[in-house]
Amino acid sequence: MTTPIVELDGVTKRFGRVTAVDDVSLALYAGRTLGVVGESGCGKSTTARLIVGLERPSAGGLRFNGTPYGRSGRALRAARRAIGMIFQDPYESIDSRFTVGDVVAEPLDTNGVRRSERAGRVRELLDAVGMGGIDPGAYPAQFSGGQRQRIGIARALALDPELVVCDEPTSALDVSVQAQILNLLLDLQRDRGVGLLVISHDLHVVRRMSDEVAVMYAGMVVERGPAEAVTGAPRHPYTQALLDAIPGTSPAERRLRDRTRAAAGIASAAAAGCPYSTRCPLATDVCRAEKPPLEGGEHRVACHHADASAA
Amino acid sequence: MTPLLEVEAVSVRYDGFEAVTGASLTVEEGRTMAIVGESGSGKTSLALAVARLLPPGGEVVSGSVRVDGVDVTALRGADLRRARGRLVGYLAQDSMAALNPVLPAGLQVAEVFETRDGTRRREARHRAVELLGQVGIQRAGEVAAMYPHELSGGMRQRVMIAMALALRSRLLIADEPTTALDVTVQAEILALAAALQADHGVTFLWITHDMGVVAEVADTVAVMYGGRIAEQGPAGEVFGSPAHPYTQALLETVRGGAEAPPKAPFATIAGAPPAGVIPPGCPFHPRCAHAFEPCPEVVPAMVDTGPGHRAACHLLGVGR
Repeated sequence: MTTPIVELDGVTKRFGRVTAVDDVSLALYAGRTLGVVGESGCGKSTTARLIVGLERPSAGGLRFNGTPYGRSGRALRAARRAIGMIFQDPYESIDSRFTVGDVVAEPLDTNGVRRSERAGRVRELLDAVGMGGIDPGAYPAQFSGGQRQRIGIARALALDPELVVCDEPTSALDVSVQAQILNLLLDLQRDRGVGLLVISHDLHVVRRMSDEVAVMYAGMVVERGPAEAVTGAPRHPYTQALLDAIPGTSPAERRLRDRTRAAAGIASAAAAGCPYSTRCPLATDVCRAEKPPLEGGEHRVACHHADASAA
Repeated sequence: MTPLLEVEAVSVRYDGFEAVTGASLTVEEGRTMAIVGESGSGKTSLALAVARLLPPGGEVVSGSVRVDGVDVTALRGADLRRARGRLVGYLAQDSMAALNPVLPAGLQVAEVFETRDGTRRREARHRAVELLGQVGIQRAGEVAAMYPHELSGGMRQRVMIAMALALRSRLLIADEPTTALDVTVQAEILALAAALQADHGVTFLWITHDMGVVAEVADTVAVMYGGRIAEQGPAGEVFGSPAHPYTQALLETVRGGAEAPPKAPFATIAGAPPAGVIPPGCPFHPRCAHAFEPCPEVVPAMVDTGPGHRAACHLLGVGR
């Protein structure tokens, strides 16, 4: 098996008493896409920040091409150069006081790329994201959300990354623009062979973009496997609930409004056992007492009642 | 039967910029109409015009809005104050900004009973807790004493819905109330809205950018683009046989590819929605795959394409 570009081995990240990421193991490969889904607070963004080196793990290890990184030093700097990141909000993630050329060239400047090469590289990068016709001296304010996201992608590509981490790359964009950006990411992967980590709350997007999908809940990976298996035949009751909550695509498939009226309670304290046991319709005593391990072959699940129907 | 909401040829302007142009629609009592559109489509301006909540500088420059037979655009002073809430309630997307941060949730609901019905404080508080229970909040007594920041987004949206129920508004405008919520919470709120409609006959004008939400909630749909209504009709018709190229393309992005193999390209619409300057003629023509001679020149008229189903596209005139 080829060495992953980035490998997480039992990574945990605590902020004070809160465990944002809990014993997560993942691997990212060249030319392949790992999709991570989950709701707010599930730890998916912290996982992304750990991978790009913006956070240090509290426990566990990260490896870049087989070499440990994640604390400091040369390995971390090498990993940072080789991992690009695309952010959710192209209005906040791009400094509007910089010209487009300066935004795109920032990683070149901080990594000592020669001035003589700079302008040519900026052109190439803008070209690669479908913005070849624009003046690099223009300011971001002149561009739409979708165009700004393209500028952000050009910046992420500046140092020829092996891996690009995309944290909700389209959720701030208009519906009619999202598909353009997703197609651009698919093209870049095909042409450059980059590995992609796509983090999204949108299961449709993740299913279409990914080779492998990981579902996170309360900091843990609760299910992981080939994209079609996880989204087509989910084994964890939480994944089933997530899929059930997606609105239908036509009034004929209306499902949500016929559900029994769900109740909202005060969020209960984290259980000692499975973190989903407080919401899970299948929960029994063992769920409240013991945290289930992530087990299985290609399609793994962390559930004491895996494959039971929650219906 | 007269519709509960009648919007006739309404145009909304913000000093010089026309955000909505000649929008007409009707909503029957006890039904839900969804207005769907992207940023700059004019959907929120139209909703704010109906609620008489346009910000300073924004005004309805022509047309009329009738709620339960009352022309709300003509209301002034005390009449307007009485009409707000009684006729039209507003569920905002940002529940944190819409609720008072320094008042416990229960008190904010109770206040509605006190001001709307003159209910005494103790009785109002009691009814507030009852209502919080009705919108699916467990341990409502405890939650009533909590401040908005102590509640989750879904819980805050439920408190907002309880306030709207306390107002007993004739029309409830839901302005992307689930956009900031997680999908499982969104599903709960959509189910709650449907249940309230069945139990209390609430009439909804639901503003959203999400065709999935439209599919779940709407009896009728109006699709807006560049300040104009591009297409409207019964939800089944609009989803089943969309007449406007914009609607067709939007639906393709949503439900297209349900069977697509992994990593197959997504169906796209070229360009971006207009920001600021709206193109002449049909506002969608620069992005439309079917645009022809009249599209950049002439604004297409609404034509009937089926029972209660209308669209504004030059292509629809060609075939007849």
